Amino acid sequence: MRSAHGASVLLLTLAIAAGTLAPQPARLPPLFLGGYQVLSADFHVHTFPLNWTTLAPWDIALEAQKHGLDAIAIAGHNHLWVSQAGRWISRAIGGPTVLVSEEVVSPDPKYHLIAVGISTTVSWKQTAAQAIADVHGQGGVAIAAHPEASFWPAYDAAAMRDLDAAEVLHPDAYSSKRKYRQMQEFFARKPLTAIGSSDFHAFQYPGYCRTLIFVRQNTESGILEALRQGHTVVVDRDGRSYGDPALIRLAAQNGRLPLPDPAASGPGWLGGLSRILGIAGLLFALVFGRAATR
Amino acid sequence: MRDQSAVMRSVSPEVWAMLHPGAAFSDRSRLTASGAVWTLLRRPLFLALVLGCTVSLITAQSLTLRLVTSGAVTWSFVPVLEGAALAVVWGFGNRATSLSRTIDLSFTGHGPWFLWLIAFGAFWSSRPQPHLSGRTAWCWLAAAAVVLAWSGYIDFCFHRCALQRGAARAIRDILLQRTLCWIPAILIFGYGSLWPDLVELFR
Repeated sequence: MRSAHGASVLLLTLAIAAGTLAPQPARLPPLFLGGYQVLSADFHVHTFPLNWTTLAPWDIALEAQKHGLDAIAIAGHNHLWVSQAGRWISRAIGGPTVLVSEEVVSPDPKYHLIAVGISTTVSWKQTAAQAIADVHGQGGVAIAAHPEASFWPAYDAAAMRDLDAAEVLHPDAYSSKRKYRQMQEFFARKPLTAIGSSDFHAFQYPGYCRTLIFVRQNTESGILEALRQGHTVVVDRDGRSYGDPALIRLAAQNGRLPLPDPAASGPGWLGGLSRILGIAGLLFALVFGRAATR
Repeated sequence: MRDQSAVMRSVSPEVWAMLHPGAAFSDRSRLTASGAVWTLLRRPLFLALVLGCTVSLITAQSLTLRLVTSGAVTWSFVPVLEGAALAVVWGFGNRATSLSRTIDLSFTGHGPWFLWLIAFGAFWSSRPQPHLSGRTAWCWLAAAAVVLAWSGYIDFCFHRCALQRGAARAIRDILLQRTLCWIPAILIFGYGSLWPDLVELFR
């Protein structure tokens, strides 16, 4: 049994070594177009604890960086402190710009609202219009999260009048054509800033869906101003672009856009080897781990 | 019986407890363990390792030192809460077995959960573009329900055979232990939108 235990330890060690040594994707150089700097951003990311997700804030920052994101909005469900912690950590490790944000989750009326760039928690015990007013009162930007049909009743005339942006691309677009069409239909209601977000909890990865944002200054305030001005481009699953028409034309003329995800191709053969060895090592440890001691 | 015991000794205690929990906990109860601290920590540490590996597989489709370590540390609240809840239940009993040995024996019954976690990590890491469809989610939840029932039976055998509880007392202690463990764990995992999500779920 000692040999079996040793084998499991060896397999796991080799698995971790292979996964750790797998080549990391190269970071993309900054892109400047028409007086703007073009950033890749994900305005809807969650982190542990309290948000039904698996990764700690430092891992979120590093995974976002790995996937070529320049800015992320870490949104706590009905709270802010985890986002504030994420911003502090990302600054400390040289990670992407983190905008302090909240996902206001309200069951009745039913809506989910991403409040980007706020400093105090927005209450979920109010209408969408009231929540949006609260966000604006703090100088933030209000984004309708995954605005599928079940959420539409909450976005009445008052809410739609003041809403800044809407997610037109979200992972739900890949699993449901119906929800995909519904988000497009919502986006067409009025001129809104186009947003593509991953809504990362555990699966996919930060930046799975993303927003190209054209900023004058690569700062938190610069990003918020670009959101208010609608200076974004989102390319959906069918290659259709949403956002500022002038910026869409600018992006179309530039061969480097949409900015690729440097880690989209996966971890490579070393990563695959790591996965196989790791699963084998765990199974070995479970089935043939140390027998009862005497 | 002797042949079965001999076969079971060729596999890990976790497998033994999965397949023959009554015999496994009765037999192991007669065994001594060396080193109280290591006995206390070894299986909770293994649980943390499995959780860290699962996080790494889901996130990076591989095992990386950062994600395995960070995942194990982040999710260490699971074995900590389990151990603390078991300590409360153990404290109300006759304490014939030491706390470290009790925790070590109890964590031996995690085999079904390990299988589920490893399978889950293997499944998600092998899909190049993971899309969580409703049907897939329900399949994994159904499997978790089976594991839940299976681990409940294992825990019942543990309380009966290792802790020498009567049947009614064993059930009560399991419910108490799980309440003390699961409620804080759920709060840590998802308190932010727990109430709105529950309202929406049952509306």
